[in-house]
Amino acid sequence: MTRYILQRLLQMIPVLLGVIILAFVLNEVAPGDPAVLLAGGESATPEAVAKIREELKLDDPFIVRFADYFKKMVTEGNIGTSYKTRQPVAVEVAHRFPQTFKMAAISAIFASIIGITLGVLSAIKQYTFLDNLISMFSLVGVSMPVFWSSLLGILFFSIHLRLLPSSGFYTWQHWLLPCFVIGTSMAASVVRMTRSSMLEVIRQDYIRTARAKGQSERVVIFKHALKNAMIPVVTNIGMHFGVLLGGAVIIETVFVIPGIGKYITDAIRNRDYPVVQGSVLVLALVTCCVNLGVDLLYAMIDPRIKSQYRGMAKFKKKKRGLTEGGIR
Amino acid sequence: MPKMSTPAIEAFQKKQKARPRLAAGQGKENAESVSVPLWVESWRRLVRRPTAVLGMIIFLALVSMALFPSLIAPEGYDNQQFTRLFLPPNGQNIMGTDNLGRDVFSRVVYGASYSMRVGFFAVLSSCLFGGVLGSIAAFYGSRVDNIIMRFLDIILSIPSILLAIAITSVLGASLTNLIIAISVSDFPHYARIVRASILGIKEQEFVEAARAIGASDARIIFRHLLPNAMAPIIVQATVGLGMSILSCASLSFIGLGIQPPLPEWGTMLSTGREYIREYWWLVVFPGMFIMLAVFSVNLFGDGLRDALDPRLKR
Amino acid sequence: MTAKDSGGTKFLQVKNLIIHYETDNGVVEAVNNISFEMNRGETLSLVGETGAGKTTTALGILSLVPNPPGKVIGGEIILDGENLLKKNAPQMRKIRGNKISMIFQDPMTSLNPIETVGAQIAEVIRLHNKVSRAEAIQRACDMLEKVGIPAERYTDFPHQFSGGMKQRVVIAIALACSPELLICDEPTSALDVTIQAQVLDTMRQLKDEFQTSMLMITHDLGVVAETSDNVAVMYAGEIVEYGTLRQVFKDTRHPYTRALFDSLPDIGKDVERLAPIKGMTPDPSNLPACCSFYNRCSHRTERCAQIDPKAYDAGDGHLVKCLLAGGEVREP
Repeated sequence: MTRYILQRLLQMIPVLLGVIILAFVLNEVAPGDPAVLLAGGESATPEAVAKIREELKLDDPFIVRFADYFKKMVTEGNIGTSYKTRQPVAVEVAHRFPQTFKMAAISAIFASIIGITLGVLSAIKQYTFLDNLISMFSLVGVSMPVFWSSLLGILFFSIHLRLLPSSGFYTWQHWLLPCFVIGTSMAASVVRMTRSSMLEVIRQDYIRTARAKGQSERVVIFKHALKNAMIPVVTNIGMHFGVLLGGAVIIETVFVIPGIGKYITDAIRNRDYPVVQGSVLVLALVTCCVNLGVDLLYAMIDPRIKSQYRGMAKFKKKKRGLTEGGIR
Repeated sequence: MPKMSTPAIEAFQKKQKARPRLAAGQGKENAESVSVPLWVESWRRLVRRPTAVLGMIIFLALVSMALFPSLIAPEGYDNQQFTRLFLPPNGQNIMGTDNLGRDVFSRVVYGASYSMRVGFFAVLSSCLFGGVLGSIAAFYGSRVDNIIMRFLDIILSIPSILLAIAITSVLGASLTNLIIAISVSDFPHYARIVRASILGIKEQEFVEAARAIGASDARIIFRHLLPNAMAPIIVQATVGLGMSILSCASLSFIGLGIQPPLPEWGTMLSTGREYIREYWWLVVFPGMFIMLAVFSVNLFGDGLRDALDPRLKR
Repeated sequence: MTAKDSGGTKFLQVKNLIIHYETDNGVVEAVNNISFEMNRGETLSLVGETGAGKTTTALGILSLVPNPPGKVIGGEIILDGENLLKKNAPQMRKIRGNKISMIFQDPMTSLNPIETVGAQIAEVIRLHNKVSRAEAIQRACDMLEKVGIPAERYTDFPHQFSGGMKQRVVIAIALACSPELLICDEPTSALDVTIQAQVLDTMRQLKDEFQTSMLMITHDLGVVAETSDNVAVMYAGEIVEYGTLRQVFKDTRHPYTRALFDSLPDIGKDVERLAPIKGMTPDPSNLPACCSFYNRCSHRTERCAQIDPKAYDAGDGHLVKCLLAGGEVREP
């Protein structure tokens, strides 16, 4: 397993490098002269602009500046400086990110539990009224924009019923509505994934084998089918965590939650590009790490992946590749 | 040519059955029964699904709103009348009026064209770009494949809505930039799907068989590879259309898409949000149309996926 | 109505079994009113082309016909005097894997990819025997050894095995509870020819050891000749010829069975070309009202297009569903 983890970590390096280059390039092509913006906008004196230009070495060639940016990032963890506050982006992100992550994590757990349960239920009751009902609701769920369902949530729970606060992120009551909204939206897609994955697995021959053994339907579904069906679902939930973080960006503006998403949208309004790029970079990094975690989990469930990274594995893999057309 | 052993022939037949194009004339069906082309067969199966037909009808209604808004909307989208600010839904203005006294229903009708345009062009461009990259990766394999796939991994590691945010924030908010941003963040999905399906088909025996009977490369590509790779691409395109409409509305909602006073649905929501405490209709109706658009596309897409999946044929 | 009447009650009797699949494209008549019998310890082969309804018959015996779309329309399946079609789900579960086991066609997909092979064998042992975990593992190891796999491989996963080895594991699962009836659905057709013989050998040995009756489903007449006591030839959901191995192989009566033999290569004969059976099996969702083999039969007469022949006894329980055997039509 250690080898597998190492290999996956190594694979992450070029991807992260690419993300860093992408973020840097986006920052480069952003409209406006950063020196002018840093000096205080259009009203800045030419001297002040020139001074900042000198300070930030803005006249250096692209490669030199990138190397400098990269060095600072690796050694100091500096991912840019806000034009507006002149504060390092990293500090602000470190301060705000936990809020966003907490919200995303709670929603993801909520979504997984609800989504997998309903998905399995829907699959084993295929073509019944219950299945149709769950399928319809999940389809509506994935079609609702999260910012709209948040607004509806506020309309109903905060304004109409006066039960929950509509903004901020301080007490558990504050968490309830945003997590519920993101959670249900994600649960809807988990339901759909689980259902189709279960239906796929239930058709497999080994499920028939399990039934032919005289195994009860409950064990067939939960032991044989569900475990196999979970493999693609887990990967998909992992991949959706990135979508979740992206959704959080929008949700935070609705609920005025002081997380990284609110930071980004405020920065967009102020044309504070380093903040946008820096935050996107951090979120991409987190998404990569989550995906790595999911892959490890995947390897733990699926022995076929695990054994690829053990001792004789390479030879066996080749041999199988010849006789069976590779592993599935 | 070496003689095929019984197991090999069986495996061959089995795989052929799993393939849509070849399945039509085989298996259960008799030699005498006329085999219909896959597309006709799939279409028939599609229209037999009431939900898919419902999705299609809603979607066509929205498309006609987008194409001929002036025929459907009672007023223009920027018809400000300060004598009727914030009217709740009534006989005259079925969805009420907004902060500038504009008819919300008319604005919603005009709004359809933005979502449809962004959705359509974003899907078209990411389909083309992703399709070409994906096929190149699959056809040339090894190093080319590796480089392209690593490049796609980079883009995929950034949550797509975030990438779209980053791009539009740099390029500036406009319809074209919206399309560019959404296509750039979406095309890797298409590339991956095209690559995967072509890789899967390239190695199958029926392609080898076609090669063995002397079919030209062009014939193999157009008669065997592409038709079999089309189904997943089409399904992805419908899903992508829904996603693009959502992205368009999301970006406009946070101020990076279509700017007011243009009546894009997300933009309308963004404005309506400020009046949410008193005037619910400014929030409910535009959002409902976003949902309706995405929902209809998804309904249709689900039906299409089932219709194109030969294993679901009963 | 018997192939080899030995008196007394039969071990397995299938009477007038009808199984349909109700699909979007109409009703597929997969199994059409078939009957056969087996004595304890005997092997009966069901022979026929792909789509003749062999597998559906087997699944019907285990009550495992996928429903929807499959449905047992009528008939009786009597095992040891009890009608299996009258049993409820829990009763059937006690029989499956215990009294009746099944070996499936494709070993590549018949094993759960994320469970160790040992656990999959132990599972069936624990299901039908009151044994401790340790004992179940021990017995599973014994079973592995019996089918020719070292017990150390208990903890291996299916993907670490070759096709032949996987089929051995499937056999071990099927035989783990010493079933009285073993149904083998083309157990060797997904395997390499060299492995086929080994696997068949193992099966035959174990069958003798466990005193098991066997229902062998195959399209390979060689396998039939090697393993069976009685043979039933299926065509389009019906049994067209039924008798002892000797009756069917040496005294072949039905034109379809004859055609099957003619399409086989024979080392002893020097022929230019093999004789394939012309045409295709009829569409099972649209079976003709007459003899279902009519359109491909080289002996057909006008009379054949008019009636669906019943099964005639061609002597000593050798049943043939053809007018030729009934003497109504003379051989041309």
